[in-house]
Amino acid sequence: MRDHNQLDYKIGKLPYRIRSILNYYIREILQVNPTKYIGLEQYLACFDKYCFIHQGSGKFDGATLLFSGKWIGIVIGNKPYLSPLIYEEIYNDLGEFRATIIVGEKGVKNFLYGNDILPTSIIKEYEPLNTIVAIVDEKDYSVIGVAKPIGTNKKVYRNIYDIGLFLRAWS
Amino acid sequence: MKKSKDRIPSIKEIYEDIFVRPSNIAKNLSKKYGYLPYMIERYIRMLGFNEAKELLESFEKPLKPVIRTNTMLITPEELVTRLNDLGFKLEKIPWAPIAFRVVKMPKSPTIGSTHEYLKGYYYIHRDAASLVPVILLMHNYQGEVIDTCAAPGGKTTYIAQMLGNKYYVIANDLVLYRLKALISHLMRMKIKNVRVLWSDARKLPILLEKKYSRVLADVPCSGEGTIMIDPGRKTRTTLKDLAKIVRREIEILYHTIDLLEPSGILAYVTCSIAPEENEYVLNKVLEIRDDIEISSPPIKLFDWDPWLTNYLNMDFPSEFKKCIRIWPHKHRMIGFTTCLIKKV
Repeated sequence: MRDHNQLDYKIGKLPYRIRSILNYYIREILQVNPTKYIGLEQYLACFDKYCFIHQGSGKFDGATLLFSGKWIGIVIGNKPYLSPLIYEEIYNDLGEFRATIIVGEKGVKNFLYGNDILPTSIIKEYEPLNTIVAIVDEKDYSVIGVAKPIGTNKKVYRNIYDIGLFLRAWS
Repeated sequence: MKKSKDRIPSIKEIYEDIFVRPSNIAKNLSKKYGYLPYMIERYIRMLGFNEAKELLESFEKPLKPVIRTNTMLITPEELVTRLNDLGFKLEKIPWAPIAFRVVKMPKSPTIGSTHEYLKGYYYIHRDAASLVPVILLMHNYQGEVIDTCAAPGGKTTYIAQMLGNKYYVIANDLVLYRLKALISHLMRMKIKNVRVLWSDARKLPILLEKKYSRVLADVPCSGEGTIMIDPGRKTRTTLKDLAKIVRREIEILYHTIDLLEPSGILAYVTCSIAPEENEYVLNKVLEIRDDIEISSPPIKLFDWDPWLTNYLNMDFPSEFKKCIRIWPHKHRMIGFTTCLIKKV
């Protein structure tokens, strides 16, 4: 749908296939109970090309509910990725990182410009690494985005999304 | 209960009520400062010639933005240290310890593009004035709140932060692209306790079943208090345009009062110094409704001014002295008003 300001938008339940991918990643890779962190039902709010996963949309009494609760993740190319908030909640509860790359100052800066993580930027790695990984700033251990290993030696991590999207998607 | 004999005035009636004919003095000043003459005439009538000139001069001075710490993610001290390291100079807001005016900025990054901003450690307000209604409305309060005209989300995120994810904030707005901005702030700042609605604030009492103890009505206004940020406002709004805006403000205030539970409090807020958008609006709603009263601010944050008790040939209730006016030339902030209204 388009509103009078010519903004494409779409809201609704997260499709089963995408929800399954998300649940699998949390259960098998991060090894925690998905329901504890993302609940039983998830919803989508899409604005132009960006689709965000959250906890409720549709109707709130008689009003249109666009977004509710936690930011759970983002859908890019029909695949879901967890938000920094969910990664941080899981890491805080576990007391350790999983599927994580800790990155130094220069790497953080480059990553937030949309660039990939190079081996020289990596401070520490936490297994498993042959999957989608959270990128963490060594300065304050906050999650700044998500990447995946590429190349033959798998030491370069391609930027899937980073929190710089708050500037790029809303400028 | 509503007084059935009264009704919301038409735009024509409002226009007739608020009409002013500019004097030659007002016309001369309007040429000098580049305003529509009717605006200057009103400033002279409200403040006198000398103070009106002070107001006009204050509108010529740019205002530095204010940042508010997201205390759910970082302490104010840590945030200040990190921004100082980047070359920012911050000045404390004495009555809002988690907020700081950005008095000096480096060439790069801008205050809206630091890693700290992207991580959600702070919100950028145009000015500190917008913190006032939230502090007053939320004083000693924990519970659900509805923000009826919420985008882009400065007040919503502040309320959500004060509630510490324990209670929900219902954030509503009519304009979708502004709601998109609000949602981005919620995600960026890792706020978990907001429900975002897309509706006309005037219809909310029909659409929602629940009544609320706290309602924020920061109505879409003419922006006549923000001329230092938006100089286009000097000539954008004719008196007829203003009458249309006033009509919408009366409608929003009139209807959003119906969201209140008994003894609940609504904060009526505008970023306009226009008496038409403040004293006139509330006076009209008081003429129509007999189930509300003006409530005193629970705390005094600084030496703000009261609302006017007369303007043109209109007398307003003496209780309007309980309401708050922030003047750019007196308080070094944007022109801003708020009034707390209690359902009885």
